[in-house]
Order: sequence, then structure tokens, then C-alpha cells
Amino acid sequence: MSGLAVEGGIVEAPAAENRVAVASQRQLIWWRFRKHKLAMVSAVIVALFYFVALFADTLACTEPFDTQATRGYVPPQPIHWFDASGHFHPQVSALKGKRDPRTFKLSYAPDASEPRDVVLFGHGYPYHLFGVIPMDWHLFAVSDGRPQDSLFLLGTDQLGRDVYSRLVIATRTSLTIGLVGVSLSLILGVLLGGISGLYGGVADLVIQRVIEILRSIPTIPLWMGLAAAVPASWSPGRVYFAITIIISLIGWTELARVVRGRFLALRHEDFITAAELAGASRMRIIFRHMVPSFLSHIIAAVSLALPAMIISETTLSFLGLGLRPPAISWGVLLQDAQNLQTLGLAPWLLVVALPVIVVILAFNFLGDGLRDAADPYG
Amino acid sequence: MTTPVLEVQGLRKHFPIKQGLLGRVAGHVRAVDDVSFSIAHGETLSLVGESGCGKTTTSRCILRAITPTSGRILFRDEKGDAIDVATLDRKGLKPLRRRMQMIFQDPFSSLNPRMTIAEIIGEPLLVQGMSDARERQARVSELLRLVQLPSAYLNRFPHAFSGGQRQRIGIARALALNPSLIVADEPVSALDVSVQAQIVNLMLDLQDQLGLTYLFVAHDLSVVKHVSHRVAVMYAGRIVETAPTTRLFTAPRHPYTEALLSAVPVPDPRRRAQRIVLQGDVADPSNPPPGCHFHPRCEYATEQCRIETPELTEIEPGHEVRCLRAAELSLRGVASQ
Amino acid sequence: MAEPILRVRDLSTYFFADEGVVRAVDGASFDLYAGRTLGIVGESGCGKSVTARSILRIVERPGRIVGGEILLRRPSGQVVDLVGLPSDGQQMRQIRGGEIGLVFQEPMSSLSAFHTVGVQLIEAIRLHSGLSKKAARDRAIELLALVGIPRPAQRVDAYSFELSGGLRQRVMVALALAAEPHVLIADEPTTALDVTTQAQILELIARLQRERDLAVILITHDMGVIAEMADDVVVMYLGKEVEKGPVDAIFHAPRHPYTQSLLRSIPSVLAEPRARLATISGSIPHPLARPAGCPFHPRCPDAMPGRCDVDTPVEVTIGDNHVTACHLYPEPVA
Repeated sequence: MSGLAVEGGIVEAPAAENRVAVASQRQLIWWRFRKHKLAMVSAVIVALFYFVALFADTLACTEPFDTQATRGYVPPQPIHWFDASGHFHPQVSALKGKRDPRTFKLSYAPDASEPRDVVLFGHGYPYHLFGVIPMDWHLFAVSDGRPQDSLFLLGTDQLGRDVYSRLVIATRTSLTIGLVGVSLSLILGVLLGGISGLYGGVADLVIQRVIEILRSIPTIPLWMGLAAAVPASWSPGRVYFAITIIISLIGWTELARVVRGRFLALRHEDFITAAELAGASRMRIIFRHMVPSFLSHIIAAVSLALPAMIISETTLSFLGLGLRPPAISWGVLLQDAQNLQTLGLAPWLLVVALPVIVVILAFNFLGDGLRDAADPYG
Repeated sequence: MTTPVLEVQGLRKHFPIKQGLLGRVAGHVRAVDDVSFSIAHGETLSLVGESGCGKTTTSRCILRAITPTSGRILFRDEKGDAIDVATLDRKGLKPLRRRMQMIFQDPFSSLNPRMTIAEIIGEPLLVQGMSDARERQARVSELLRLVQLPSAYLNRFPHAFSGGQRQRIGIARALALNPSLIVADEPVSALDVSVQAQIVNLMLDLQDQLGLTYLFVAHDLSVVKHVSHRVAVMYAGRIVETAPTTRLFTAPRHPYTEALLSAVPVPDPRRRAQRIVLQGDVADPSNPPPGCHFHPRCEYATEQCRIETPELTEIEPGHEVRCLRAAELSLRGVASQ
Repeated sequence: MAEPILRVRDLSTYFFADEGVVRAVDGASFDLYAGRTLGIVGESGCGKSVTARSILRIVERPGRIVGGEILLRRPSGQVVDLVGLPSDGQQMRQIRGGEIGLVFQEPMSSLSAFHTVGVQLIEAIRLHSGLSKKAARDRAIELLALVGIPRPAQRVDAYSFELSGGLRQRVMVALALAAEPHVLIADEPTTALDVTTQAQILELIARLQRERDLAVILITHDMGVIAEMADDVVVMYLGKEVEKGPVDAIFHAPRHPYTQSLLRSIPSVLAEPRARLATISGSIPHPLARPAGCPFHPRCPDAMPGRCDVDTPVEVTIGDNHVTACHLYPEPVA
């Protein structure tokens, strides 16, 4: 209850009242959400991440699959923003490698005599924007068109591949797997949760027991079993879908419970009874009265389920059970950072963990904010 | 009496109590246990009782929001033909929905917060076939006028309105289809005193204007005094007394009615009369006392009351009581002004 | 008459919300005496509950007491101003429950569902006395018997959901009295109960008052309950006291137009069947849109333009202990 309305108060109330009076539920939810600063910031962060996912290739600069053994384990190279005369002139230095004669350790030093200009919207490797439009320019590139020689914002991995570019591509993969997984869970969850909550009885009993059994199985062994069942001969694309289906098979249970709970609560609301007493059909009651009522809860539940999906994929791939190279995802990238030796040689490989943490936190805060805005009374 | 609009005969609603893993039926809650009454056209019958007495369940059975276990609910149309609502299926019920509507107790949960007032009041019209939007709009505006709300409010949402205003909207919705019977389930209990007065007056005015018939379910006897022609008192699923309003209040014939009336605080400090304070708790409808359900709390109870179940009998024209000792007891009512 | 046990002077409690300042209580003053019942009556938004919470210093944010005094005479004879005490300090915690007991409206949510009734009583007893667990348990059983709960020795181990509404409210009264307070504040104690159960609880409170010389503040919107129980009455509207006096004067010689209108608009079992109720025109204003001058003037049948919409009326004595704040009574009546 808004607590702002009183008997006949509309006419005498302050001007702000009238705006609230004609505001639909959706607008009220938005206004409530806006007050939640952390959630707003998180929403922006999440939006930024999906922007990156959408324009992944544009934001990358080096071909993510381009291996160059000579450039293995190059540390991150910063951009020099100002040149010798103090003008704004972003440059990177080409690297010259030297092998220490005694330890045979390869070390790189920037060769200041060979600066390369960093340009905005320069040319780089060709790709298809949105999978359709052929392009070859990227957000930033090197003037000579060979970023693989000099542009190593986050260093390179063992095979000389630019970590930054791979990270950006991985963002796309990990975030979209989350989306696809959640969509599948949504369909399953709403359908089964709806049947459970609306019809009750035997259907409810069976579905609830299935949910409980699924939830009580330890997830990692379950995934391992399912992932092991995926034939090794499948292409990365097919594996991608198989993994998606596997993680959504677990995720739907949470949504189903939320949906069932909402239906159960709504069934006894007076306004539903009023609609029944008017002679409204079952369909009308479900779609006109009940569904709009819990839509915001579904959205909140989805935004909390997404991070779980992302973590699932990351974990599976990290363990080598999910996506495998040459596919690129956060989990696959983290695989490279698995052992202490590697970490000792190339600690910058761990930077992959950062976006995972940030996006998971952001989704959680966003989901909390949405849930509180949709239903402040829990 | 004119042909009754509603005649309830032997209504029963038992809820099974499920226990154990497989939900075995361990017993029944006899929420409504043999209830019979009738309401004439243009009349207000109040169904009065405390929590658990079955008045709300009775009202929901009559409207077929829930299905009765047994009994007949005879609804008469203009021609005088009676239809038994108790046994109709979904399809048969739909046309009857026009004839009986409900006003709910909670003004905050009885309106869909995601629909505008126009949509809420117009829904019964839409569902029952009035597909022309302009026609609906006209009827909704007319209904808003009837309940004294400005038509400027059409596009507002329920959260913008106070409790009393929401009740008016609920009343407008109930009137939309011109029902023969309106069941009002505690329509003013959740409202402030001054607002309560407005809504009570509105309901009385609408009854005079439109010839409405009300089944008024309430626990507040003061409000009941103001709205009813006749009153039926319920206890533990049964009607224990039915009488015209003045008679019930001034000369009750059932000990429970007497206790109920004496328990109502009168707003006059000079009338702090000796009250009958009932001991014990209200009877449990899943395990009611044998014989007369009220006997453990009744100061006039005899051994016979524990053994024999009294029937609802007419002791005076229009006055029925369910008590073995009704004829010999001399009970106290409220003294009139 | 003896010295009052509680004196409230010009108490003001405001709520500082995003949309503006709500003056929930705006200058309330009254005295409370041992053995007498003060009834505070009014409709939604009048500030009666906030007054009770202010006395016990349990007003929730964004509300706080902004002015006035709450003078409590402690058993030692010393008079302390509760407004000046820190709300979670040791003194206030001693007073809360120890010298002033509170009975809430909803017994279901005021009692813990996870602990037996006995455990909650024992906790309250031991918080305010040095009794051992065994002694406290005996005392708890005594208290349950005192409030009329049958078979107290068994019921002490019952959970709140095993008890009916009436019994739960009796337990609430027992909890409020566990530490032998001198003042009992009952905030809508019977609103959620059936009328026969209400009669039981009111009778219980009256009996306990007689036996222990308790000072009772009874807060309710029900004028019938006020007529039954109160010795003195304070009528509130939108945070202001509009009239206060002995119960007989309030009911039979009300002076303030709001009191008069309120009394006329309540339904009564003594009325003629199907009699229309008198209504108060208009409605309770939005708390953020307080009318200027007298808060009741837009609805007042006797409002005087130029006066009632400009100046706030002050309290004026119009009878024996009978005070009202209304421009119709600018001068005290002897």
C-alpha cells in the first residue's frame, strides 16, 4: 500500500500525488527501483557488459585465434598517451625479444625506437558484425595494421594470443550462454510451476518431488556426468548447446518454485475471486490477472538465475567439462590460469576472473533491486 | 412475504482434514452444518457471528466461489422459476453470474492493482458480452456516479485511492451487471468510523434507489442494526436464531444471541450495564461439542442440551430459534433509545 | 487527587519522509493517574499509536520526538523525563516493560512462534528481576493464572499458535504485567478479536486495574470501548488533541465539532433499524497536505472563514477538567 492516499485526498493532495495516481504498476516499480542506487549502478554495469558482448569483435583488436609462439607470455604493455614533446599521441612500442643466454628465459623489452601509433577506429582483422555485416575496423588498432606485434593491453597467453581480445570475445560467449540457458529455464519453470500452482493435486505432488530430487543431487558430479555424456566428437557449436541445456535443466527448478508460489498466493486473492464471480474464463484469469501480477517477480528471479548460469558455464569449462578450446569463454580462459607455474610466469592471466566477479555481483544487486521494487513486502 | 429471491435449504460444507504422508482424511471441519434461510426481494438479511461460525463460507457457497458439500441454493428469477445453484457446472453458472455479485471485505486486495478503475468496473460487463467499448465506458461512468465518485478517476489505479473510495469502486463493480442479489462480506469492517458511515449510507441509498437485495455478512452488531431488515445469528456452522432486526435486538430467544448483544460495547458511559461474559473459547468446527454446539458456554444449559441436538424451530411468526429451552427462557436484549 | 504517575507535556513526534514532514503528533498533553484509565481515541492518522510509541521511545525511523516532555514518576519518587533519555539506554530499557507495560493489537505477530509462551514470560520476568529460572517459571504460571488462562501449569509450555486469539491476547497481557509495571499501555488490544472475546479481555484489564491500582492508557478507534472502560478521554485528529475531559463530559457534553460529529456517526445497537448514519463531510486529509489553521476546519460544520483557516486554536478549559481546542471557545468557561 502506498500509504499516500486517504479518503477523498486526491483533490486536496499535493501535485505530486496526481502523477502517482495515474501511474501504472510498471511505473511505480520503476520509481521504486530508481531509488535503489546500487541496483541502478549495477543495471548500468550489466548493460555495459552486454554492449561489449554485442560488439565484441569491434572492441577486440587482435585475432583471438592467432597464435604466435614467439609472443608467448608477454606481460601487459601500457599505452603511452603522450609522446616526447608532450602532445597527446597514443603509442605503443614494438617489442624486441631477447633470450638470456644462461637461463634461456625469454624477456621482452619495449623498443622505443619503433613506436606504433594507436588509432581509433582503425583497421584490423576482418569479422562479421552481428554475424551478418562484414567489417574490418575495430574500436582501436595500430596504424600499421599489425596489432599482434605491439598491442598487448593485457599481455598474451602461452600461445602468444592477445589476452584482451580473447577476454572480450569470451564475454560474448559466457553472457549469451547465460541468456540462452535462462530462456530455457524460464519456459520450463513457468510451465511446470504454473501447472503445479494452478492445478495442484497429483500434478503438483509429482512436479514438486521431481524438483526436490533434482535439487538434492550435488551439482558438480551431476554436471560431470552429463558433460561426460557429451560425445567428444561434437563441434564446439553443438557442445555449446549441449552445455546450455545441461545447465538450464537444473536452473528451472528455482523459477518453477517462484512461479508456483505466486500462483498459489494469487489464487486466493479477492480480486481473482471477483473475476471468477463475474464469469471470467480460466484463460482470462491466468493471462489478464495472474501473469501480470507475477511478471516482475519472474524478471527478478531471472536476473538472479542468470549469474548462476554464468557461474555454471564458467565452472564447467574451467574444469574442462564444458566448452573446450578452440571455443573461447571465461571458463576456458581461466583454464589457462590453473596451475601455479603458469601463474608464477604470467600472473596477468588471472585478470579473467575480474569480469566474472563484477558481472555476477552486478547481476545479484540488480536482481535484489528488482525484487525489492517489484514486491517491497517480500 | 413476496417470493424470496434466494432460498437456502440444508446447506452443508465440510472441509476434509488431511493427515499423514498420503493425505488420508482424518476428519472434517464442518464449517457450514445445515444452514437454511431465505431472503425476499429488496430485503437485507444479515448473517452475524464470530470467527469460525461459518458465515463467510456460507456466503461463498451461495455465490459458488466454492462448491457446497450438500444442500440446495435456490435462486429465483423474475418469472419465479427456481434454479438450484448448488449443483450447476461451470457453463451453467456463467449466465447466473449476472444475478449475484459480491462486495469484499478488504478494499486493498479486492481490486487488481494493475488495472485501471475503468477496467476493473468494466470487467464484468466485458466478460458477460458487452464488447462495445463505448457502451462499457458509458455504463462505467454511470456506475461511478451512482457511488458518488468523480468520473475523472476512470484512468487511475487502485493505489491512488483510500479504503473508502476503493470500497465504492468495489460496490460499483458489484452493481455493473444489475444483480438480483448482492452478498456483502464485511464491507465496512476495514474502514474508519467516519468512512464506515458514508459507505453504510451509500449501501442503504442504493438499495432504495435500485431495489437491491443484500445478504450482509458481518460480525459488528452495531452496523448490522443499521442495515438489516432481518438477522440470522450463526454459531459453529449452524444458524441459532433468525428474527426481524428489532425483535432480535430487544427480545432475543437464544442464549448466544443474548451474550453477543451484551458483549457489544455501547457508546454511552452511563450504560455500563452488567455484561454476560462468556467463558471459554468459540467451538471448534472440526470437533464441535455434542448435542447443542453452544452448551459448554451456556449458563442455561441442562443435561439434555448435551445429549439432544436442537432443531431450528419457529417460536413466533418470522422468529426461529435453535434451542431446547427457548420457550421457557426469558432473555435480555438491548434496551432501545 | 494524588500526583499523576505520567505527565505528557506538548509532545511532538514528526516523521521526516522523502516526500515531506509528517507531523504525526503535534502537541499532545495529558496526565495519567494510578487506578484510572485514560482513553485516547481517534481515526487513522490521528497519532494515537505514535503517542504510545513515543512514550515507550520505540518510534521507528524516520520518525523522532522533536519536542515536549514525558515525565514519569518512578517508584523511588524521582521524576524523569523520558524524552531526554537515550532510547536504547539502560534506564529506558528498565522502564520499558519494567514500569510501563505494553499490549499490542496483533497477538499473533507480537508473540514469537518459535518459543513457548513460558519461555517468553520467563525472559520478561528475568529481565526485570533477579529471579532464578525455577522461580521465574513459577511466577510465569502464576501470571497465566492471573490473566485467567485455564490449566496454566500445562499452558505455560504451549506455543502461541496452539492458543486461540483470546488466549493469546491474555498471554500478551501477562507479558506486559510480568515485571509488575505501574502503567499499562494497551494499543488497540481488542480490535482483532471477536466481540465476546473482546468483552473477556476488557473485563480482564479492568479487574487487573482494580487489583493493582494500575494506570491504564487505552488506545482505540472504538467509541463503545472508550465508553465502557475510560475514566478520562483524549480525542485526537491529525496529530492534535481536539478535546479531552472526563468520559461523561465527552459523551454527553462534547464541545468540539469533531467530537460531536464522530459521536453522531458511530453505529449503535440502540439505533432504529435501517437508520441512516450522520456523516462528517469530506475526508481525512493527506498527512502531507495539512489544512492551515485548525486541521478540522475543511470538514467542520461550524467553521468560521478568516479565523479557523488561519489561526491554530489553543486549548481552553471549558469545564471541570474538560479542555478543547476550538475557535468556538476562545475564552475559558468557568
